Amino acid sequence: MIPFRFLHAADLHLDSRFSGLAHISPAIRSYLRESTFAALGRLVRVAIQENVDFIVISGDVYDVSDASLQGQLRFQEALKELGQHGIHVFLIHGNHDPLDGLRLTTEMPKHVTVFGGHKPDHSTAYRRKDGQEVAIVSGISYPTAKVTDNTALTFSRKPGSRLFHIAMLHGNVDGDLLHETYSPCSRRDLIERGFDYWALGHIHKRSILHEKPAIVYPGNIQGRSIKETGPKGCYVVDVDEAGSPTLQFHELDYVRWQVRELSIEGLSNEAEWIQQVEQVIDEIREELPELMSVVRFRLIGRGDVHKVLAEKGAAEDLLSELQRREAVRAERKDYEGLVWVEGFAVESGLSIDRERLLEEDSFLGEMLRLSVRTEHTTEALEELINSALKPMLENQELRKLLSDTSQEEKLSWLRSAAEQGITMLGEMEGTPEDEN
Amino acid sequence: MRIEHLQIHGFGRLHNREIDLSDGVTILYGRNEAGKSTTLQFIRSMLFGIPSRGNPTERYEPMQGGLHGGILKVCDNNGGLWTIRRHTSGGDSSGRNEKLNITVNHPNGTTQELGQADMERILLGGISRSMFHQLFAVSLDELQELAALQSEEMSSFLFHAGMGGGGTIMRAERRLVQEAEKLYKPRGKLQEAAKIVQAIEKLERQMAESRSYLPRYNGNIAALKVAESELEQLEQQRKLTGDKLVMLRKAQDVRELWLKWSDAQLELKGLPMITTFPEDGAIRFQELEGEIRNAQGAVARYERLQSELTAEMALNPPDAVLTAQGPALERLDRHRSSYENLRAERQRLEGELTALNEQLQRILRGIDVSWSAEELTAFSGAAADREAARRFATAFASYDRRMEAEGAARQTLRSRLAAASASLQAAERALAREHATGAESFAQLAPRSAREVLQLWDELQQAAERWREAQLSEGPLRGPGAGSDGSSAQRMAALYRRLLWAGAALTVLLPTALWLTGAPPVSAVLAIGLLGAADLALWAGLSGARRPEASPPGHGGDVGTAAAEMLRLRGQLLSGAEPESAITPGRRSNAAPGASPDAGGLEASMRELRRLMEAWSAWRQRIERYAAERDACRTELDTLAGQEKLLAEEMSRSETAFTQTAEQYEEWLRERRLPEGLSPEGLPDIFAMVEQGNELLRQENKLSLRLKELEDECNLFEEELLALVYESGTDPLDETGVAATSFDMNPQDGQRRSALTLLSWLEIRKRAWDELKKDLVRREGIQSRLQELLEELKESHRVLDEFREQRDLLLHEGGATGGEDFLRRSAAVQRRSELNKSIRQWELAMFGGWEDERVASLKVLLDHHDASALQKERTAAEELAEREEAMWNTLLEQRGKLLQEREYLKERCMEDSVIQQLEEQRAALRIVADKYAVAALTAELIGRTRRIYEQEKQPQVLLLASDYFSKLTEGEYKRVVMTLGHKELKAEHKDAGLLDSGLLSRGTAEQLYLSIRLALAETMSRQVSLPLLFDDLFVNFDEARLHAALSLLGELSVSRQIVMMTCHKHVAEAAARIIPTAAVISV
Repeated sequence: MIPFRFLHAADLHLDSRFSGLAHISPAIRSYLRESTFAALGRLVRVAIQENVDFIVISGDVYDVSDASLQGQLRFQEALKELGQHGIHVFLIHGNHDPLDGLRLTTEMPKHVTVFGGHKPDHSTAYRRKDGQEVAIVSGISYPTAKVTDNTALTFSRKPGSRLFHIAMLHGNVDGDLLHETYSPCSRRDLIERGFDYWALGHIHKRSILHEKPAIVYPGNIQGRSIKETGPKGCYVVDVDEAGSPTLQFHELDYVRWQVRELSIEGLSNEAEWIQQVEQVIDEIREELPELMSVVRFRLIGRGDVHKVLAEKGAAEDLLSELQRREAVRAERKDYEGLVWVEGFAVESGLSIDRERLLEEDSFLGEMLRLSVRTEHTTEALEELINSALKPMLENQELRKLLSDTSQEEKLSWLRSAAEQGITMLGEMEGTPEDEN
Repeated sequence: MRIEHLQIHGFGRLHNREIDLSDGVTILYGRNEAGKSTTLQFIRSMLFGIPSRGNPTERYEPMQGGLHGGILKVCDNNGGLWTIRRHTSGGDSSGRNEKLNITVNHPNGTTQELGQADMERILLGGISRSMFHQLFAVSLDELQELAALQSEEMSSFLFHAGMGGGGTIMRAERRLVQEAEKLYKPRGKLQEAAKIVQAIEKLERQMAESRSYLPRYNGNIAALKVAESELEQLEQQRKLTGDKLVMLRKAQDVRELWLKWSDAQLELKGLPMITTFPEDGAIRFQELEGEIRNAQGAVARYERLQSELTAEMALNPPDAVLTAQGPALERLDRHRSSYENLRAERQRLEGELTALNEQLQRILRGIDVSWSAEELTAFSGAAADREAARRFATAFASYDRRMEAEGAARQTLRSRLAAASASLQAAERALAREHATGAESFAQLAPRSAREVLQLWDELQQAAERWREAQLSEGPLRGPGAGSDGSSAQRMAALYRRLLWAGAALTVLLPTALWLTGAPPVSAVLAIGLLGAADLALWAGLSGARRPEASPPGHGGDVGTAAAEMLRLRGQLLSGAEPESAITPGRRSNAAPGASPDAGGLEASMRELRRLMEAWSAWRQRIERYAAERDACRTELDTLAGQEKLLAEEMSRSETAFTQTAEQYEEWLRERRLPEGLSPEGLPDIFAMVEQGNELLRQENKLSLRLKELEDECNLFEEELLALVYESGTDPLDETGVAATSFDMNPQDGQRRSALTLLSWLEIRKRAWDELKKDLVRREGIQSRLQELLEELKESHRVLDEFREQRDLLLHEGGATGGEDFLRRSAAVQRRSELNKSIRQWELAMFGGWEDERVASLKVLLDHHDASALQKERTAAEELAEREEAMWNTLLEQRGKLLQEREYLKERCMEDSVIQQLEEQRAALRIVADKYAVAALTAELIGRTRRIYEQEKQPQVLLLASDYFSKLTEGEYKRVVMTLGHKELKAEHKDAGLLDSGLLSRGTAEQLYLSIRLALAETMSRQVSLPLLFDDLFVNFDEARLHAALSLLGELSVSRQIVMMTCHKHVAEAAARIIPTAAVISV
């Protein structure tokens, strides 16, 4: 077998929106928007530098729902550049960019192979330096956005070919619940198809499901929300004479998302807490001096500072101050090492003995018991939420938002509410003189 | 705990009292002021201390003095016996100085001494003093104090632990709701959520455009493709059409040329071939012909000029005489002005001479008519003559003056003389008239002399006096009669006197006045005369009047004698007028007889007489004055006449002297032949005139000499001129001729005119001479030109011959037989060369730069199409081209637009961040929603918990209270409810539902409060079960409820000691009846 090298990427989601960010300055916004293109640019550079023979992109190059012309044009440009270097590109469409979706009608250049939606075709990949056939690439695109069949089963090796076989599939292997279960299949299904490399897409979290044959999710190339934390990029796969692939991850992202937990336990006042936060930010800046970071702080633990956070809006004040600082930085185009705090998730609480309070025959005890009771039964939760948030249903936007809210989030609301109740009524129990 | 024994040493009105209390219910029954309430207070004080002096109403100092305090024995739940001794420590000052001794005897036999705090804790289970008062030792007043229930201490029992009455909960709830509403409120516009939602809606609208970019771009690509291909097709089409159009246009453009070209080709074929022909033959031939014509013309012109000039020369030959005279004329003409001056001078001198002569004559005439120039020269006018003349003049003048003065004096004298005679006449006349008047008036008086009359009158008067005296002694009757006559006469006399004075005054004054006014002497004399006459008349009048006055005699003495005397005297006086008195005596006789007897008549006559006498004496005076006046006038007249005579003599003497002098003067004049009668004053004038005359004579002589000279010069000039005139006798000018003859005929008279005519002749002659000079010059010019002409004429003839020779040569060269033939041949040759040239030019113009192939097709096109066909085809092709052009432009425009749109889209999508912004707003909304949800949920949780508390999970106290209240009201009310937060106490009626405690009746309210207190007491002292002490609480209870209350207390007394104080017998009895175990103690 002839050794060769290819690049595997997926879920470019070019020019797709960044969710969960509120109140960002125009400079930050433009940088964020540019980040997916920048990641694509990096991908092209990696492909060129690493001298790969071809590239496979396993779907979701862009989001049809966003209908971004910019995304399409920039992708075309990137393809053109790759073409100039003679790097062949194999492409399938995923659930976000199905074949029936809106896209640029220009014809794809010759060095780009786009697989159709009926069945996995076979296409031959050549080594760049000598044009030798090195691999058979198969793939299937999403004809429409929703593909619920197990399309993996339709894949089959090219009869008689002994070349390295690559399968391109956009789908949810082993039912990852965080993503839509499109094109569901199991690892076993894939292994049984006899391909040497499963170039998967759809799941944004990078993972290698299986070594031999390699079943790989490269993840997306640029994180786009707080759910997509950590380094993002692509795999450069070296296939040796024996036909065994060696994977090397290349970071492509320009904006790094992360969630940092920060315990308030042991903090005696607000200033200490702010110091803590700033320290963490400095740490991140040091860690990733060349990237822009978006960070969410999860404030956990129990301590007196919680009261300040919960009641006096200290978290919000600090957030806007931090954002202001970074916005100034962004104005200076000083994006490298910029740390944008996305928000504070206040999951902390007062330092109370929750268990004891649960036993207590008191108002708070009763309230906490009510809260816990509600947490445990979905109907009760729904009833409580519907009753409390009834006004929200009157507004279309909020209604939609409410209906989109997951059970998890609702539970977190409830927990926060219980904590807030305790915080607000807490003083009754402990120190009556501390009114207000 | 149970109170067993009270030992009151001194407390209020109680003194050394001991009370034992049993288990269960004890009723202290007694009248008012029996010490029931004091007992209650005593127990309170024993347990919690005696109140200080600052609070005397509760201190209960013993009224009788002595020890203040006592001992309380209490048994606790464990069987320990507590002995509390408490006394105030004497009377010293403030503070709660009390002696306290607490001992506990435990059942196990041990004894312990404890302090107040320990006691409160162990024995009373930590119940505070106030709470004890409020709940355990309650009087009616305290029962009704609802506030007590709201104290912190108790609300923790009424509500649940740590809720502080629920205020915080309510506040928290409210705050949460507010917070939530700040974030979001249905239909609110200002909330954060609303703003975000608005932004989202706006962005969503923009989204539509944002999403349209891609489809538009696709559309753009497709359209661009189509446009490009169409453009390509059209381009080819345009090229074809363009070629065709070019061909057609060319054909049309060159068609005219082409037609000419074709014609020229044809013509060329028809022309004869002439090989040789002199270059530019025709032109040259024509030039020669022209030259010949020119030369011929010149010859003819010169000949004509020659003849003209010759004729002119012959026409006017010059005048020979004039030519000869010329220089002389010029000289004379130059002297002409001096001649004219001479003549003018002569004329002036003549005038002057005449004037001199005239003046001389005048002077001569002025001296004397007979005088001539000789006399004039003869008259010397020496100084002696002048002296004599002056002397005569003086003599004459002095004579004149004297004569004049004397004449004037004489004249004065004469007039004075006349005046004097006039006044004499007047005086005489006045005297005469007075005499006459007197004669008339005093006729009755005897004509006696005036003296006599007066004498008589005096006598009469005396007589009358005497009579009156007698009368007085006799009777006064008679007196007045005499007076009356006298007075009337007196009045008359006065009148005359006055007139006379006036007349005299006038007579004197008038002459003076007349003198002054210068009136003529005659009238003055007349007036004086008249006045004088008048005076005289008056004078006479006066005398007349006076006379009778004198006549009546006055009688005096004794009456009789007196009267007689009177009568006598009167008779004497009046004797002259007897006839007259005939009548008067008649009357008087009547009177007189009467008078003698009666005095009246006498008196009256006496009075009359007196009057008469008075008038008479006045008249007499006048007569005398007039006479004197007449005498004065006569004397003056004589004096004046003498004077006049003297003067006349003087005058005649002067006259004689004068006549002598005059004769001498006459003689002198004659000697000098001067005119007679010339006065000496005129002589100096004569002398002056003579002098002037001599001067004039001298001037005359000078002028005459000068005139002579001038005359000679003029004549010389005129003679010279006349000689010329005669010389030119043939002069055709008539006037000069006439002048000459008239000059001959009338030499003296015509001298002046001849001079004029001579001058004008000279003028004319001179002018003719000038003309002639000019004419001579012109003739000379003509002569020279004629010479030149002749030479030129000769030259022209030579040139003409030369040209003719050349022409013949040319004709021969051109092979022509004659001039016309030569021209024809020349034209043919020229035409051919022209045609060839045109054809070449046209071909170049038509096909220049075109390749042969196209030229051929163009020729074919021209051959096959006429003009209209070409036009038609061209129009069609042009229209086609236009259409194609328009389409081409449209397509280009379209392509341009598409490209523009494409760029626009590219640009737009670069900047477009609507989707991201939308996402951001959604995130923001999410954050708001999170906050809202948490706040709302918290509020909901708290609210729900609150409701659980209020409704389901009532506190033990309230449950108990509800139970008790239900019992007390026998089921009327079911429940007692305390709302959270608002701390409202409510009772639930079995039918009416929840009622506010304030709305309950007094009894029911007290029952409610009692229930709560009982419940509280039950709850709070569960471990120690403090005794209950009630001071007459049931006074407002009806019987049924009282019974219910009592039975309730009975129930409670099982586990708790109860002490009731009452002053009502029925209460005590009912208690005793209902609670069998109750002990009733009367106090």
